[in-house]
Amino acid sequence: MIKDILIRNFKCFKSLTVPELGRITLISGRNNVGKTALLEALFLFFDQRNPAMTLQQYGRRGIEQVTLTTKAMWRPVFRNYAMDAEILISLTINGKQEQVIFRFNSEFVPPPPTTVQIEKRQIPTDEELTTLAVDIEYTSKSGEKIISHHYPDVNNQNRPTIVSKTAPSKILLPSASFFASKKHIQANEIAGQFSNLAQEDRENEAVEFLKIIEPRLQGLKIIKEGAISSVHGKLEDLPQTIPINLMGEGMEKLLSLLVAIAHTPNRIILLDEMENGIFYETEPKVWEALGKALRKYDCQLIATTHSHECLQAAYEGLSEMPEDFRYIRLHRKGEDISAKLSNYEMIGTAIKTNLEVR
Amino acid sequence: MSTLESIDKEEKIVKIEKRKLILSEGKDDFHFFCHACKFYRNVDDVQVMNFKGIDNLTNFLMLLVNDESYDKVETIVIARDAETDASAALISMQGSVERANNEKSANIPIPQESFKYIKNQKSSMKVAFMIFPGPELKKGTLEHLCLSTVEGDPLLECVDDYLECAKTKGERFPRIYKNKLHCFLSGKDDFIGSRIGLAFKAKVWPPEHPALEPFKKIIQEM
Repeated sequence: MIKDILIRNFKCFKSLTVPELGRITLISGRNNVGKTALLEALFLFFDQRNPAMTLQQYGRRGIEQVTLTTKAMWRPVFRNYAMDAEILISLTINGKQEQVIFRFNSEFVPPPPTTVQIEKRQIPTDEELTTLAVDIEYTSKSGEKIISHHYPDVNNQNRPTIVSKTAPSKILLPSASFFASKKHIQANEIAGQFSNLAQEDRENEAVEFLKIIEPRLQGLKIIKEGAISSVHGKLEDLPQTIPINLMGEGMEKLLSLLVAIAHTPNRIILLDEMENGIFYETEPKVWEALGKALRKYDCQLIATTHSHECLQAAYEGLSEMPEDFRYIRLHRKGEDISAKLSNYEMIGTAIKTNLEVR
Repeated sequence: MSTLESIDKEEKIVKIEKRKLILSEGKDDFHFFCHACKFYRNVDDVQVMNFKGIDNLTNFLMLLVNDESYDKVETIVIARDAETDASAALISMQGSVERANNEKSANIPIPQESFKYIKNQKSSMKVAFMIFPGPELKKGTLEHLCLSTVEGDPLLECVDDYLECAKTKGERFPRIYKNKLHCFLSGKDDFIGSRIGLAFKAKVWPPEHPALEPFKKIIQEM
């Protein structure tokens, strides 16, 4: 579980400290203050072995095409696009500090191409192999430093690649999932995760969870149509099953959340705009069920919201686990962004006294 | 937002909008302070906020410190009733500010007595506590202060007679000052109602009465 966060030079953050996160942390603040960027920084930490880490991040923002050069892949995540300063993401996880530094390397020499690739590309012997890379320096909880290099591999259609002298298996990070605000989750992806529950005969956990927003739901099963597998729901008054993605944003969202939580214990769930797709009257019950699932599987949720109703619903729904709840409001003052922390009792007072905390 | 507009905003979402704040314990004193600010100050620069019960004061202060406009706040006046023990009320208020300071690194000055501003070196902010009925009184409420401004009013004789009569009919008054105040106001123009704030606006409580002097001074020196 992440307790404290320090981020430097990532996107809008010059230096941001976020202390005392809980099992459930809601993040709020004005538009463009960095709520999504905070989730992205966290996910980048956990996703640091994924060669497409930044490309997928841009994809979640709706950017579908990026030139496959180091600068194009990395500049947008550096503060003010300035790659001369290094990005630091430092987390206290389960009481121990781990950090990753992303540093531009203009003198990187990629490993020599393999024999097969030389034959393919016919590289002349005098071709300059020096290119640009971003060095990824991970410091483990024991203090061990592991340096990797991220660069576009000219021998493989410039696809982003990570090389490291150290075996990647030495970097042991908790699992994390990112749920973007406006991006639907692929039916295949949900089905893949749901199948893990199904194999363990735990479909009912998901059914009970989804009944909060769809009381007519009787069951869930995976249906394969051609190459596509998807989760279908059976409603009590309909003869045929319906793909969960067609039942509404809320159903898709809650199912994917639950399967992510139940799939791997100790997972970090990063959720952008919690309130999307969930009717306000059911929100407290969703929070209650979510809180119980997070506790059961020892997972952590860090979510953003714009909505006062969402905050009220969290307060109401999490009344039996107040110690697990934190609320962070991001403030911008000039170029500086800071995080203001409130606990469950403070939020109760804010709601009672109608004090603005978003 | 004008001070009187704070009345309209009472049940809506509120945030820090002015540099001078009065924090009230309840709805009646909230209205009372709004009208008093309007009367005693030439400038409409005070925001009255209701923390709805003394148990919320610590959290309310910490939430204010979290507000993005908190850095602009120059003056905070925190008001509550002495109830049965003005000294205990003072200690409780000091404890609330101290906890907010500790948990939020807030540097809010902590008054050592009521109805007197304090400003410390670490902060440019000045703070006062108002513990009603007044600085020299060991117990009581804002209602007691209001009633003290109309001592000698012949209407009070009728009020006392009425309440005595009610007692003979079996009624019990655990907080008789409230009944006395409501009876007194019901003997005035009907538009005043039974609220001490509206009564202030209607000058039922003579605003220049000596008993209101410490309160007036705090409001004027905000």
